[in-house]
Amino acid sequence: MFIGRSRGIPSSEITDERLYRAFMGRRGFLKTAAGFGAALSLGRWSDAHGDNTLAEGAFGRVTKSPLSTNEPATSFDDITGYNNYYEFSTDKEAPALLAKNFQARPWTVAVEGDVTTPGVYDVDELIKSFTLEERVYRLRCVEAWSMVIPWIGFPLRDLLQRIQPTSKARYVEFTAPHDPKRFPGQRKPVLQWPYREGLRLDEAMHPLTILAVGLYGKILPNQNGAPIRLVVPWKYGFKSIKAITAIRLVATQPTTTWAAYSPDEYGFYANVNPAVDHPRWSQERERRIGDFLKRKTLPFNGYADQVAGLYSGMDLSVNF
Amino acid sequence: MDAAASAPRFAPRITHRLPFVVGCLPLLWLLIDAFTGGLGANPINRVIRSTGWWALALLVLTLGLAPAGRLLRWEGALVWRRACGLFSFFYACLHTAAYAGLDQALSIPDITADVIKRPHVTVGLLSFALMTPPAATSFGWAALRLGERRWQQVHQLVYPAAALGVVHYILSVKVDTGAPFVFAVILTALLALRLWYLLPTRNRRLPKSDEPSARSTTR
Repeated sequence: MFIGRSRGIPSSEITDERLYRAFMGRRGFLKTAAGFGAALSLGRWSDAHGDNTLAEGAFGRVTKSPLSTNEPATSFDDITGYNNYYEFSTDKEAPALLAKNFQARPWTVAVEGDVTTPGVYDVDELIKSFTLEERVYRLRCVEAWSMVIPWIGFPLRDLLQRIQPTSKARYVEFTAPHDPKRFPGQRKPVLQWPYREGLRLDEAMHPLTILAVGLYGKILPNQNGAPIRLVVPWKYGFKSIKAITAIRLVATQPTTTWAAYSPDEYGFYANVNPAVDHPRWSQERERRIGDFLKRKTLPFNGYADQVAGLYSGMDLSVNF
Repeated sequence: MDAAASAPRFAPRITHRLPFVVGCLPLLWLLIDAFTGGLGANPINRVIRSTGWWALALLVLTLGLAPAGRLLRWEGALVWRRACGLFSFFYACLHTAAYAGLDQALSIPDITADVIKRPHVTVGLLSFALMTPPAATSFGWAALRLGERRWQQVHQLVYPAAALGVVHYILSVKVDTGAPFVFAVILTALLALRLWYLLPTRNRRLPKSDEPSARSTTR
């Protein structure tokens, strides 16, 4: 039976369709496009996968994860065309263009500090040595917009267990490159380069925390932080540092880029928290990209059941 | 009103309408984008930013047209100045409506809280409020009714409105204050120029006093 296409499918959906076809072969799918500005509902990514599939030859077997959300994923075009990546530009649509010719490979990741087995790894060797999973996570930007992104990656804890932090290690510090030739946004001193982020060791060891190397089954696009980035879904997006070159285990809380830039606006923890406003805007609500009306922001971005325990006894309005 | 009944002016009709057409272009551009999916992933944000930018850019341009007309001895500057000012107010209305309607879903408690708590919203609203009296009295009969001196005073409000508009812009951006800074520099220069020219302009002819003539002849 031939099922006619619904009218007015925006071009943004067409790429998705091709993508879905690439993965799903002949299996059909149904989409609805409801009015201008309305939410577009995509088939569940994890459903689309069915069993474990070979993702366009990019990765080997990618397993589904029970930690994924069932919410419809944001379109590939929106995820790759609208994001913050100040190393390229402060404009959210510019990174897609400016990162086009960025060479994300060869790339090395240094593992150093208070670890038993420090070393410098080729990123592809590193990726090959871990079991990749698909994690469909909500992403909440501190600017009050959000997406649902089907990441491909592996738990950071897998890496940490392998390199064995010493008893001195309490925090993990991540560093991105400082190279204005490759990152045109770094020619302006908008932030203190290089970009630095950090997690407490227990946050880094949490099963939800991953190093992402792909999305929508593809190798991580340059503008999304290729070749390897952090994803911490219960924290504001800026914690999830892109293009990591160094992972350092340290004893004291590291200085992080946004907290250093404006400590009263961006904290070290940066847990998604509707009860703590950004000084200049409310964090109570967020606009899911593709939706018209804003929705309520959930504590810890909806991951409170899994992560609230990490912060028991802490005053989250002080440690924001 | 004798002057109003004076000779019909056909030539200015085109020059009087051109600013209207040009002023509509940013809106047209937005509408085309809206219907072709060109507003990007966060269309509401785009509409708010774009209308706000045009409101401020046109306001600064309005202030720049007076000295430009004076320096270049270009009489048409006054026609453009009035259109720029009104279109600035028009885009400020769209900006405010987009914020209240699309961003805050017309929730009075949310908007009130925002206005009280967020300095950039407070300053923005204040700037908008200051633009309202000059916009409302931009028509010829208002100038006649108010009298030249009072009308001039009301229209001086565009200076604080523009200054607050720039402050609003600076407070609204997250990090990159480059664009607001450019506005701040231009505005400072224009204010300095204004102070410089303050005395000579005092006794000048009321800029909009010929407006009723243009209206009455087209009706």
